[in-house]
Amino acid sequence: MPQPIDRHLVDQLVVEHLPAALRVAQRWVGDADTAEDVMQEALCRVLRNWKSYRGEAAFSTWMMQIVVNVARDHYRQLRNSCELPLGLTDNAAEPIEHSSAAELGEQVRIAIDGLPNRQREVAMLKFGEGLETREIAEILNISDANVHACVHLIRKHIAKCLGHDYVEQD
Amino acid sequence: MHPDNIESKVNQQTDRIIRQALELETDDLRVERLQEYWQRQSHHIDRKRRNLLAASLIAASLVAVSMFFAQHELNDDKTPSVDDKLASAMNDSPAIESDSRPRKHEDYSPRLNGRQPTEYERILFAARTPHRLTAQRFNPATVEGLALSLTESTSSKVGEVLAAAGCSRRDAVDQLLELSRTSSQHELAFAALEKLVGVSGLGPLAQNSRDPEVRGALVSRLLEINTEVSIREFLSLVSDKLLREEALALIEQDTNPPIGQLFALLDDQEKKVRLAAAVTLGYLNGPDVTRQLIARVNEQPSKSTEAWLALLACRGEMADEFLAYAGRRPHLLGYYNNARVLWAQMTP
Repeated sequence: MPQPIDRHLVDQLVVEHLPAALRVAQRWVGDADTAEDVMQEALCRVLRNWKSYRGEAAFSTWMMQIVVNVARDHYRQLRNSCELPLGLTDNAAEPIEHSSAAELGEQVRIAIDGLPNRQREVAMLKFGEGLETREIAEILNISDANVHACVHLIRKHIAKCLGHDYVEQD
Repeated sequence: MHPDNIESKVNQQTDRIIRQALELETDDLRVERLQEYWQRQSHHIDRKRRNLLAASLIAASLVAVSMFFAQHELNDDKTPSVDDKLASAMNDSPAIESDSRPRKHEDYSPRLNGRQPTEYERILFAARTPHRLTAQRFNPATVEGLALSLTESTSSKVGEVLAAAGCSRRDAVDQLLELSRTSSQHELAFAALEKLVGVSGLGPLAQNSRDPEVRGALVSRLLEINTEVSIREFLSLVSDKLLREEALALIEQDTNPPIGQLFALLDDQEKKVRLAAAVTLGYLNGPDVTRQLIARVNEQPSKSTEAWLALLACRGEMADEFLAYAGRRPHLLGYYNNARVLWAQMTP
């Protein structure tokens, strides 16, 4: 039977994975200050639940699951508290006209914001943090096939926005 | 070229563009802060756990001790108790005539059911006694003298001046605030107050004052001083939900509001200060403020969260037009949405 983790090891692992977790939170909520708040809440949850970690998955995956859950709660709360303008989805379908790399980056970020939630989450973990399919599936609690399908849809959507001719891969 | 190679190339290119767009620098300062937070929280939780453990041990030992004594009493039931022994001794002794003379009350300290209060009760009584019982009554002439002495003394001598006047710092503050109501002594009273509590003490004084007139005078004084410290104190009042309206109404009446200071504080390290500065600027509104805010937002949309909030707080036509424009521009829309979300959280 898996043994509970040692407390000092938890301290060490949390500090080690803090930068990546903060980046994920910041991509999720879009604002550095809010991301810090989200991280503080996530750290409190880690402190409350570290004894339940039995080492079945990597610690980084377990911690990232907590960060993602807190960020989701936060995002849901925001969506309930105010209605956002819907201009994004209209623009996202049209090819992006860009003049500089920075502007292109901004447009792609906006296009990603316009993706359905699940695809947006996969995009952030896959392309933002460069995580493996298995790890993304564990964090988001979905199947590997689901992750692959999301990646395919994200590429298709962004390629369309960029004006590339997207060709389906088997 | 083989179609598979073309597909793979397109995908690689798309992936690269997405990766670049989502690339994010790690903010070392924030990471450091979070590490500190983690350490603080873990120490706090450890301490709490230790305290809980200690409390449970104490409770358990108390239960054990009380059970031991209960057992002991049961065992002692067979032998005569101290009360029984005392009663039998009294029965044996001759009767004493009662004293018909009135009883002398030599000790006037409070009695509880005929017994002396314990040390704990004495402390409790002292703690519950309102401080104002000992405060000196307001005497304009004396207070004026105190104010004069305070303004002429150096900061290190303030204690000596108070000791010479025979009043505590708290009493002196109360009496100076009372003196500030007299228009002729207003300046003198505030100069003495600043010597006594410093400019940074005026904000907390306003926050704790129950008298709207005194609060108003303190806020006006903070705006009049117009230094970074005084504006920060003013913003601490804006951050206070209960005093916000009052503070904002006063700055709106100010003929020369500290616009420059407020814009500078939009970049402050403390989030609370930045937000209060944004709310104040939004409240001040006006074409100049709005124009400066729009320029700031256009220049650095990603680093102007507070300027966005200030624009949302503005009620002018110019601000409304700009926000409508931002809602149509993809490069501004993300930041505009973010600011709207934050604004919605701040104003439920």
